[in-house]
Parts: sequence; structure tokens; C-alpha cells
Amino acid sequence: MQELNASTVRVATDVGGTFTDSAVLDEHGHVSFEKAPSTPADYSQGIVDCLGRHDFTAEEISSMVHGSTVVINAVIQRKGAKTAFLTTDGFRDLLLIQRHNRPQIRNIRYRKPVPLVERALQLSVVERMTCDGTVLRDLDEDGVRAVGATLRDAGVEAVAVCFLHAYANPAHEERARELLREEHPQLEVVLSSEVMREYREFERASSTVVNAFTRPVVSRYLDSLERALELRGAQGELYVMNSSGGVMSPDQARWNPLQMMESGPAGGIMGAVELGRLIGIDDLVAFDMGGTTVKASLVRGGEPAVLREYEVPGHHPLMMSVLDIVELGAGGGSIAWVADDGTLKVGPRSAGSHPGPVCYQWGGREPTLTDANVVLGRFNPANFWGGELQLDVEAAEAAIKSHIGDPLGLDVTAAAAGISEIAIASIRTAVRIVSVERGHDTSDFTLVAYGGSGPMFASRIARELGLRGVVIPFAAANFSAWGMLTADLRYDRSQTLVRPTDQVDAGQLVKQFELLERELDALLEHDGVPPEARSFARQLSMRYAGQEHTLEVPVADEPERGALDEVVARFHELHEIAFKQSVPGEATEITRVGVTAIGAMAKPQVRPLELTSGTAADALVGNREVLLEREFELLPVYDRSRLAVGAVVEGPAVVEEPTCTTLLQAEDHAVADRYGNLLIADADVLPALADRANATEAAHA
Amino acid sequence: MPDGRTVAADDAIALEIVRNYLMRTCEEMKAVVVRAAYSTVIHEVLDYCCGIYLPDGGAAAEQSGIPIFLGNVGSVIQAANATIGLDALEPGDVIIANDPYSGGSHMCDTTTLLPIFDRGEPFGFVGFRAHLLDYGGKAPGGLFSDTTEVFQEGLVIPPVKLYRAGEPNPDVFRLLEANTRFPRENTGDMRALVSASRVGHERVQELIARYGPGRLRGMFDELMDRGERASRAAVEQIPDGTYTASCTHDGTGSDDAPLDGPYRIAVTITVDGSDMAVDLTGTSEQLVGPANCPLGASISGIRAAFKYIVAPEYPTNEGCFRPLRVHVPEGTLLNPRKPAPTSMYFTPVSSVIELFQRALAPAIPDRTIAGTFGDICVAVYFGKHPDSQQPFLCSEPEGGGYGASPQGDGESCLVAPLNGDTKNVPIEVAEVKYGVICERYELVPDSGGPGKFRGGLGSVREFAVRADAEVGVSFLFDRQLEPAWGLEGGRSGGLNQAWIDRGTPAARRIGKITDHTLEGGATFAGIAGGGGGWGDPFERDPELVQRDVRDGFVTFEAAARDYGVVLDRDTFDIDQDATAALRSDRGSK
Repeated sequence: MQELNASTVRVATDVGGTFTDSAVLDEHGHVSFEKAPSTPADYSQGIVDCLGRHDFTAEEISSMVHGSTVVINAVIQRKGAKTAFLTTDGFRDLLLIQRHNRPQIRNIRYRKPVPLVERALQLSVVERMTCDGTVLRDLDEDGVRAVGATLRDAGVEAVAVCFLHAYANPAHEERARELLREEHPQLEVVLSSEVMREYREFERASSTVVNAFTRPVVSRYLDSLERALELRGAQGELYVMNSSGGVMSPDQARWNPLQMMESGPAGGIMGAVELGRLIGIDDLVAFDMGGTTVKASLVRGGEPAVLREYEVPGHHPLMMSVLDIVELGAGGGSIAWVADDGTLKVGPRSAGSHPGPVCYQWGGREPTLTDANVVLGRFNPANFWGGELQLDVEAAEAAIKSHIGDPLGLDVTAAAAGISEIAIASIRTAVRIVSVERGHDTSDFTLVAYGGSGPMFASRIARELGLRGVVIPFAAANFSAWGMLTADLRYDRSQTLVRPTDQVDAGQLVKQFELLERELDALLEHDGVPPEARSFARQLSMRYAGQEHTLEVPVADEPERGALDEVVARFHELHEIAFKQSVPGEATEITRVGVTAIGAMAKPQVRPLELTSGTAADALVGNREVLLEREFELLPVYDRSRLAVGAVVEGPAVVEEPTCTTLLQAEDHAVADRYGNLLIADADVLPALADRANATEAAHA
Repeated sequence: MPDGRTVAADDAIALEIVRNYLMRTCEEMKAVVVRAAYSTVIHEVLDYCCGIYLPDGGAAAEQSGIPIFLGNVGSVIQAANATIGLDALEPGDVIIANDPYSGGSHMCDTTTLLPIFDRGEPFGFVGFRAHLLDYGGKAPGGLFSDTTEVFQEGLVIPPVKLYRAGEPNPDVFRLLEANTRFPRENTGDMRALVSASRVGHERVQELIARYGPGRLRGMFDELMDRGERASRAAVEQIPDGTYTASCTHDGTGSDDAPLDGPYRIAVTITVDGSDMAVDLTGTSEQLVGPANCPLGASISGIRAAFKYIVAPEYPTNEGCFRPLRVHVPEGTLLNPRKPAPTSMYFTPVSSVIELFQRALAPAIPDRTIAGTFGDICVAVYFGKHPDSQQPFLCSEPEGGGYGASPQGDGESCLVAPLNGDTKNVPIEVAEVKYGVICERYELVPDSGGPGKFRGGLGSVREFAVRADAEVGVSFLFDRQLEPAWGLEGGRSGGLNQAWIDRGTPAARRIGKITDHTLEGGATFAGIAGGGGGWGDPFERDPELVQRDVRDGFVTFEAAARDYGVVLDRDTFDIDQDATAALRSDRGSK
């Protein structure tokens, strides 16, 4: 593993639309968090501002992990390079035809997403490969040169080249790049066979176009960030958070910007994975609830679920590795409203941080989930954000009465409780989708809840869905930034290879795996990862012969014939889990070989707290009337920071900290572990959870 | 209005939660089937519908991948109740049916029903409908243009028990497997339907446990009442009156041996306050050939057409359709008598959606469009993969142009309105799976109907048979005679076409053909036509015409001929004088 220099700090920064967040781990193992406004004109300014609020100098930075919405924003706002598209003759309209589907099935006026490439720059040349990579028609080299000249004259910055079956033989794409560069040396040429060697031409073309469109944007962005850090004397390595839960080098981010698409949420999930490792929990659901949305992701055996397709909301599908995150529009700022037919809805519109919930008194007039929580006594109006913001309970009540209570004929309490129940139903749905609907038994899983609103609802959700227990991490509200500090380098490569499993030559398969591994090994080598810190995980995409969709099946190192039988058996098992049916004995097919490379990075050392002999009573700071589900009751309120390790709090109760509030249900028992996490479960389950959490210090020795 | 029955105040919250739960349950059921399915018609065409139903077949919640399936499962439940009967059902039973005359549509469309009980009392059904690949019949795939009796189209399965008390009924499985060319695929898809239905069953049981059967049933009723109110509010927005429209289809049979000539679909819609009556009188008598649509499927088509216009976003349940009264005369092709063949049921019924738009366009121009290409344009091709010798079958619709509206141009290359989130089979996948070679897949210039707002463009997709292979094809392209209509002076779109060996001396335009063998080197092409235009094309902004020509959507010739806009062939500049002359010349005629 790469060693940390003892006199340096590690930094994570996450640039969002409104705020830039940072987490800094110093040489003593202390983590601190800061926040500054984002600066869209030059995002590096906001990052520098944010880091300036911490107590260290740039020279001390040993490494920085960076997450950003720059790529997804460039696509949604359509602000990217002037991009062209070149494909095989006969298929010029690929970006317009798309998949000829109408996703809004009852909207007869449906309009397709508009391509990022203007029509005049969607071009084709004569060439053709067959699906096994044989040349059917030679590349028209003069045609490519003519295209190069056209693009030069039109001032095009980048071109996405996607020829049919280039995943099977990239020769024509590679030759086209040479010819295009001869005519237009400044042209950024992105080949589909480099972005993704998999079949499905529209998705591959769409991925290649988004890559080309955002590549110059990301290059400029990272150049400017590196310059800003260098100017201030920072020497450390920069890493970029990627969507599959790892970090990558800036060069890889420049080369395949798609992988930055979901870099923010990935941080929290990897934080949950690392936290789970720290306290001995392998099977968990990461549950993140902020101002706008609720997100849920499943981690099984310490591995987060990864999907191989993604869609920029309302835009084009992309082929990329991305953590399986289910996101629904329900957060603290989600607005409650009454629909035409008299039903109560919460979200997807959010008041965000501006104008924010009514109780903030920042101009918000529509009631939000946070307003309901204030009315229900769940937030302490005098200790919100540590008392920085005085919440206006009356204003929240008035808004809920006029917008929700009066139209529905409910009193304020019932209306607020209704808002809360609708939001809880959304959370339940998100958690159910990643667990129950994916065929998992929830009783094997623990909920790790973070984000500003996550802890409030966690124990209720865990009880309703029958999860084992809940962990509220230390620094729950800043957990995503902390999580970025824990990520390893991660790169994925794959290759379409369609074969009946019983006709597969195991030697050929091993060769394919090794080919991919060599490429990935070179990347890790380039990133300076020592050989002992490199590891590779192989997968096959498989299905029953005749099916279309596939399942990802992990493969041990040497798929000899016998081992291949094990892979097939594993496929049947996974099919049974996912679809509640399997047919052992039925013929299967392989469609893809894939490899994930990991370069292990040093993990932040989390220092255990001193064991003390305090009891829960020492942390009791008062009582207040709170409505948990049905009616108000007087609940004890505890200050989380005063809670001694090992002290047990019995629910129902409220546990407060400056940035979030945890609610304990009637049967809950909660205890702080030695890392400052709050563990919540039934009285008979809790001791086992706590013992494991306190026993696993070896993880970071 | 409903009888004023309302749920208690705190039920208003539970109601929203239950509604979302039911919708999510339909999503979950869909995910199991679509991802585990073998049939492309399920996993790409999304030819399915599923839902939670009351014992009488009324939908408490229903979701379909394509609009046309709405309400179709309910008719199968009614047929099952009439034959098997609720009393003869027990927990764990699964009923299967494909009989067009027991609430079905055509033979491939298979329905499974799983009864839900609460302490021995019938509570309802989980229903799933999906298109399976093949039940025998005269050619693979169940899509024919030239059958004359339903018995030629495959094995007719009235409602029978596929499972008894949770155990497979081996006799029925054996019978079904003996009657299909694709037993592995068919049985695999049946298993997927049953797995998904069991998931739905589990979810409803969770709701019963949580709320109790009586309260849950009360909430189902309330959800339907609200669906009714949403529909009535939307129907009231349509000015009262009687609106009519009709169109003509090409016929049935094959090019060598036609069975029926052109036939007519007619729709009369009467809007009176919040009620809508729909009468299909004027539709042709039932046909000799297979473009007949059984009554259950016709009602589904009418419901789909209604839902396109009336509160389309509102989640579907039985209550949504209470304002709708339907009359389909018996003996017409939309309410045929057994044993009329029904393989092409989708062709006439798709026009019902289109005719709702056409009839109501003058009344609600902001919610309707000009004609689309008007048929799903389905081609089927099948054979053995030349490398693996594995049998394959692909049946896929083509994407054509949609009609323009006063708000803008029509969209290009979309599946027909009766299809929905139906994706094409990627070329690269088709070539791997079926061993064919795609020659081109492009938009067709000048196929969009000219108008102040232009109709969307159609597409051409052309495949070649590999030299070492042989492929069977069936083409069921209709609306090759009547193009997509324009509105308010807008003109027609380009016609649908099917070709064999297009562009060669042996070129042959195809009307309809079933199970035709193509040798190596032959090509077959489907062309889906364009959408109709809206408004006078000579009033189209010349700069929009210029953009269309630059983009390759309209040719220079058509710009001058159809739009009266003259452009420089090198610079695309508008020749203002020539354009003014052309446009005023036409205006003075």
C-alpha cells in the first residue's frame, strides 16, 4: 500500500451545484469538514476557498480525492466541445433514430432527446466489419480525409467515431483516427472501441459522443484545478472519484470523462463499505437522504452492486460502470402539495437550500418535509445546525395548515404526520428496490444511514423492512466526503464475446481475461501502484441461451473446464435470487468478459475513542414532545457528543447533534461504538453488533 | 358522480401509500418478466401488461408496456369466471389462456391469472399478459396475413389450470410444449410470468396483512372513484358534440392470393359533459382473413385511445374508464364471431387510437396530432443461424413518422402509437443472433408530410441474407395505400412499403406475404412512412425549410415543389425572389 507521510494531510473535495464540501484527515487521524459556495466561472476557486477554511497549508497535502458534477452538468446544460459524429455508411441517422421507442407511452407528442451533435456534423463513410471482426468492406480512406477537412473547416473540436462491430475489430476506427488527424491535427478523436468494447451500437455511439463532448471540458477543468493547487505549493497526488466507487488518475478522467458522471454519491457508498469493514458489517444498505433526494444502494459481502448501464436523466443511455444507486425525489427540502384528485404528494420538487423550507425564514412559502419534522417536534428549533439557524415553528405550522391541512380537512398535526408518512413510503420504496426487489432477504442487512435527513428515519425504516439494525456513522451529515478518502483506485475493462458456454474454449477465455488484465495493469503501473497492492476481479456476463438480458457472474482466476461448471452453477444461483426461478441443466451463453482492477490505497486511520464508564443519563439534556408515528409523547433528548462509548440509550428517544437528529423507536436500543458510530437495534441483537464493532481494530493496524 | 363514499381522513395518507405500492408492484412484476424473458417481443417490444384485479376483473392497478393492452386482462378474468368459476379455484392455482374468444387478442398473447385469497375468500387476481413466441400454426411466430380460421393460427387455449395448488400441471405443460416450435423459449417465458405473478401475490398479501382485507378493498374502491373523477374532469374540457373520423386499410391475404380488399374503420365520439360515448358503427363486416380484432381487444384499443387524450398521466385503474360507453356492432371486424382469424388484430385496432386523434383534432387542437404512419409495420424473419444452426425468430415493428401539430413538427422514426417503450433490436445484436447483415437503417428524406409544421420522417431498414444462409420472412405491413393524413391544409406523409431485393432488377414490392423463403444474397427491406403535416406548407417559415434541406430531411426539389422555397444548391441560401414568386404564384391560383 502507498504509505502516508506522517506530517501531511489527505483531502477530499466534492463540488456540487451550490456548495463545495471538503473533508480533511490530518496526521493524527482527526477528520475535519468545511463548506464553501461553488464558483461556476472557475470551480477551482471554490475548492481553494473551501480548503482555505481548514487549518493547514497546501504544501501539507499528500493526496486529494476530487468529486464533481462537472460532467453531468456539461451534458445537461449542453455546454461542451463542438462535436462531430462519424459512423458506418448506411447508419448515419443512428443518433436520431436512437432505439425508436416512446418511453412516455401515452404522450403522443413525445420528443426524443436532442443529440449533442448537430445534424450537419453527423456523418458517415464507407467501411464495414462483420460481428466476428472480419472486414466486409474496406475503409474509404479518401472519404475519411474529406470528413477531416470538413471538420477542420467547420471548427470542430472533437469527433466521436463509432463504426459497426468496432468492438470486435477496431482497425478501421484506428486508421480513421490517423487520417482525421492528418487533415485536422488539433482534432480530439474519440473511438468507440476505446470507450467500450461491447455491442449495441446506439448505446456505444451515445457513450462515445458524450465522451468526446465532455473531454475538452474535463481537461480544462482538471488543468485549472492542478494549476491552482500547484500555484499554492501542493505536491500531492490528485485523484478523481469515479462512478463505480473507486478513484482514478486525472489522466484516466480526461480520457474517459463518463466515469465522473456520478462521482459524488459514490463517495458515500464507499464510505459505508469502509465503515462496514471497520465495524464488521459486510451486508448493508447505504441510505443517504439530503435536501432533494433519497438514495439507496446495496453492499453484499463488502462489495457494492455495480451496474453496467446508465442514463443521464432525460438524456442518452451510456455504457459505463456505475454503482447501483436508486434515487427518489424525497429529501428534507421536498415540497408537500395536494394534487388535483385530492391526494397528498411530497416531491419531486424541492425548495433546496434556497429558498429552503418555510421554517428557515429564507423566503420559502411552500411546506417541506423539514417543516413537517419541525412541527412534529423532531428537530430542536433552538439547536438546528448547532443553533446557527433559529427555526420558525409557527411559520411552518401556518404553511402546512394552509397548503395541506385545510384542503384535506386535516388538523396541522395530522397534515404534518401525513407529509412524513408519504416521505417515509418513498424511502421504504428506495430501500426495498435495492434489497427485496433484487431478491435479498433484508434480515441479513444493516442500514447505514447518513446525509442531513437520513438518521431521522433510519430506525423506522429498518423496523418496517425487517433489517438487522442501523448504523448512524460519525459525521453522518458529511459522510460522502469522508467516504472519498476511503476509496481505492478502480478501473474496469470488458469485451463482448458471445458463445454458448458449452462451446467455450477455456484457454481462449483465459487469454481474453489476461489481455484485459495486462491493459489494466499498465494503468496501475502508471499510477505508481506497487505490484502487491494490485488485484484483479474477473466476471462473465451470462444468460440462458435465447434470453436477452444477462447477469454478471464472478469468476475465479483460472476458468478451466471444471471451474467453468462452477461458474455455470453460480449463474443458476444468481438467476434464482434475481428472478425467483432457475433451470439447472438448461443451456447457457456467455456474452461478455470483464475485469475490474483495484489499486489498494491506504485507508484513513480512524482512532478509537477512549472507553469510559459513563451512562446514557450523562448525555441527557432534556425532554420534548415529539410525534414518532401516531401521537405526541414526551421523549428524552440526548446529546450525541456526550454519549459515552458503551452507554445504552433506550427508545423511544431523540439523539441530537448539530447537523442531524436521530429518532429511536419504542423497542430500539442504541449504543455508541468506540469509533463514535451510533448502533441501533433490538435489545437482544445490539450487544452482538456492538461487540463486533469494538473488536475489529485489527482492520487498520 | 360516485355515491359520496369517502375514506376516513387518515386513510387519505394511507391511500397514496397504497396506490404507490400497487404501482411499484406492477413495476416489480414487469422487471422480473422483462429481464428474464426469452422472447424479444417481451424484452424489447415490451408486449406485456400486468396488474392487480378484483374478482370480477376490474383493475385496481394496471401497467402496460404498450398502451393497447389496457384492460385486456380483465376480459380474460371474466372468461375464466364463466368457465372455471371462482368456486373451483384454490390458493396456488395459476390459470393460463390465449383464446382470442375468451378475452384474448391473437394467439401469441398469453394471459396468466393467479387468484388471491383472504382466509378462503376470493380477494382478486394477479394478472399478467405477454406475447409468447409461438403456439404452432402455419408458420413460426404466430403472425400471418392469410389465415381464414382461428384454428390455423395455433393451439387455442381457453382458461385452464397450468398450476394446481402451487404444483405444475404436467399434462397441460406437455400439451403446450408439444404445440410450439420453441418449447424452451415458450416454457421459459411462462415460468417468468408465473414468478412475477407470485411476486405480485406476495405484495398484495403484505397489504392485506397491513390494512386488513375490508379496509384495503375500501381503498381500492376509493382509488377507482378518484380515477373516475380525474377522467371526468378531463372529458369536461372537451367541447360537447359529436365527432367522427374513418380510415381505410389495405386488406388481407397474400400478394398472390388476396383474401380481403380494403376495409374501413369508423369512429363516432359523442361528448356530453363528463361522459363520452364511442360507437364503431360503420366499421366493415368481419373479414375472411386475419385482420379481425376480438371484442375484448377492441375495448382495450378504445381504452388506450381514450387514455391518450383523457388524463394520460393519471395511473390506470378501472375507474378511469367509467365515463366511457362503448358500442361495437357484432359481426364487424372489431367484434367478430368465432372462428374468424385474428392474427393481425393489431392492424385495425391501432387505427382506433389514430381516429380518436383525427376526430377530436378540431375540438382540442392543442392535445392532438395529424396522422402517423398508421401501422406497426411488423416484419418477421426466421431460420437457422448459419454458424450455430440454432433456430431463431425475430419479429419487430418499424419506426415511422408522427403527425405535426399547431405547436410544431412531428417526431421522426418512433414506434406506432399502439406500441410504447418498444426498443428496436440493435443491428449489432441482430447480426450476432440471427446471422443476417444489415445494409442500412436510415431516415427517409421527403417522407414527412409537408405543412406549416412538417410531419416526422419514416425510416428504412434493409437486411441481406448471408450467402451461406436461408431466411423465411413474413411481411404484415398495412397502410400502404392510405398515407398518414395531414390536418388544416397539411399534406400526407410518405407511404409504408415492404420490398424484396429493392434497387435491383429483381426488385419486388410486397403488400403482404407469409412464410416466404429468401436464398442467400437476397435482401428484404421495411419502410415505415412519414407523419402528416399541419397547416399550409407554403406558410412554413422559409428558414425552417432551409434547415430541413441542410439537414437532409427535405430535398431541394421538394423544398420548391411542396413548400415553394428555392435554395442555392451550393450555399443553401434562400433565393428570396424565386421563393416569393413561387409562393405568390400558388397563392393566386
